[in-house]
Amino acid sequence: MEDNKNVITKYPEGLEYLNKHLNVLGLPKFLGGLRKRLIKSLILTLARQ
Amino acid sequence: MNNKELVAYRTKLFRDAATFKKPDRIPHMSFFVTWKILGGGYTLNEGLRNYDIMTKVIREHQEKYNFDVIFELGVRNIVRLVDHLGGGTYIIRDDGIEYKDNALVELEELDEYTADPTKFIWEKGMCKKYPMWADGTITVADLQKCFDEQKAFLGYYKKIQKILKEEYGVASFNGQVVPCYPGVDFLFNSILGIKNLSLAMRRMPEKVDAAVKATNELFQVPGIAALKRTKGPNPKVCYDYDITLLVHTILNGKQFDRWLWPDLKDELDILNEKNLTTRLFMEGSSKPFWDHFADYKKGVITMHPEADDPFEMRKALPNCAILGGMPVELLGRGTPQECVERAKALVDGLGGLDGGLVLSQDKMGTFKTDADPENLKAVSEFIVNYRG
Repeated sequence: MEDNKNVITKYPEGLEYLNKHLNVLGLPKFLGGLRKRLIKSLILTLARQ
Repeated sequence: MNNKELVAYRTKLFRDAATFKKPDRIPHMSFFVTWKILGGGYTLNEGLRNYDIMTKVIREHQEKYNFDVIFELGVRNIVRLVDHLGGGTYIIRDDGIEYKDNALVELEELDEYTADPTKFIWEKGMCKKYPMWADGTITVADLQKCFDEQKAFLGYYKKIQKILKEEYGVASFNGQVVPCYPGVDFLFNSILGIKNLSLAMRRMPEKVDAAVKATNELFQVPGIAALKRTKGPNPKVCYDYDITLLVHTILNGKQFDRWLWPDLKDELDILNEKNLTTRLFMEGSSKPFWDHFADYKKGVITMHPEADDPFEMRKALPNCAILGGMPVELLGRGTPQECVERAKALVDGLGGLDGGLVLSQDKMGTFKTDADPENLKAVSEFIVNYRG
């Protein structure tokens, strides 16, 4: 992990980065709080599945 | 009866049964998961990876067996979501699913996890699951595919619910939006795994206390807050709430009281206070813990016994309705007559026509041998016509 420079894999930097670049179910950027909750929820789902 | 009226009729059957009012007849619920796919003549890879095939599977399941509710609508194994990242916990074969007891957290990492579960899962847990996360090759495009897949999944789920309701008059099982999930069950199921949680409970119980508390912030705390906001029973769904638990299968009485009961009690106390109904499915046996449920109001808890005898359960917990009772072993290997006799014995023996019984399978129907279609058809026909 020490060599992994990908910002996506860091928290909370990855969350901020993904919020800027992902299309989160079509939600507008100004709904940042909701977008971030959904991104966190997706990562949690991916970790569980 | 048109389909709208049928939905209302079926929903009332469940609500009456759960609250010990005399139902018009015994409600019948499908608790089949992957059996629906295999029993329909498809492979699991076809069914789980193609929403059009899954839609056909659900339609055929309802057309053949005429259930009042189908508990699982092809959404339990979201394999397409993890396919984009190279696969996850489940190994899907054409005829069965294997589950890997993966630990996202090793014992020596427990303190770090507890300090910030989200950060740990994001930075280390995901690395253990997905090589492209670990080596840093994951891209925004990869995660965009996951989000798009999630959208497709939600679209499928909405569509299949609509089809069942509007074309078949099938009722909705429950309407709970933000579920609680006790931290220790999540540690067992997804974070530490069976082996590491067992070791941690023995070797470092105080650290398990802290890990449970930290984990509760993910689901349990928001779930309790949402439950507290619930105004009262929802007559449009069969149950107001649903609880499934796994971790008790490795807990002794003291461990149950220390790590699971406080959170489970929080949920049940609110349900009790608000007169909400819940199914409580504790996989394996729940018998060692039955005394914990004995004092709740009649009609709040519907127990779904998997490995326990429903007749014994009724004697010990006369305040709890029972959902289940049909062994998948019998449905798979018995004769139609034996299956109907079992269903009749359940209804008569538990006094189900006066309330307190929903007929269903004891286990999640998973393998092709979990039911013979002729046996299931015989039980389905019997139960809608039996009036004592």
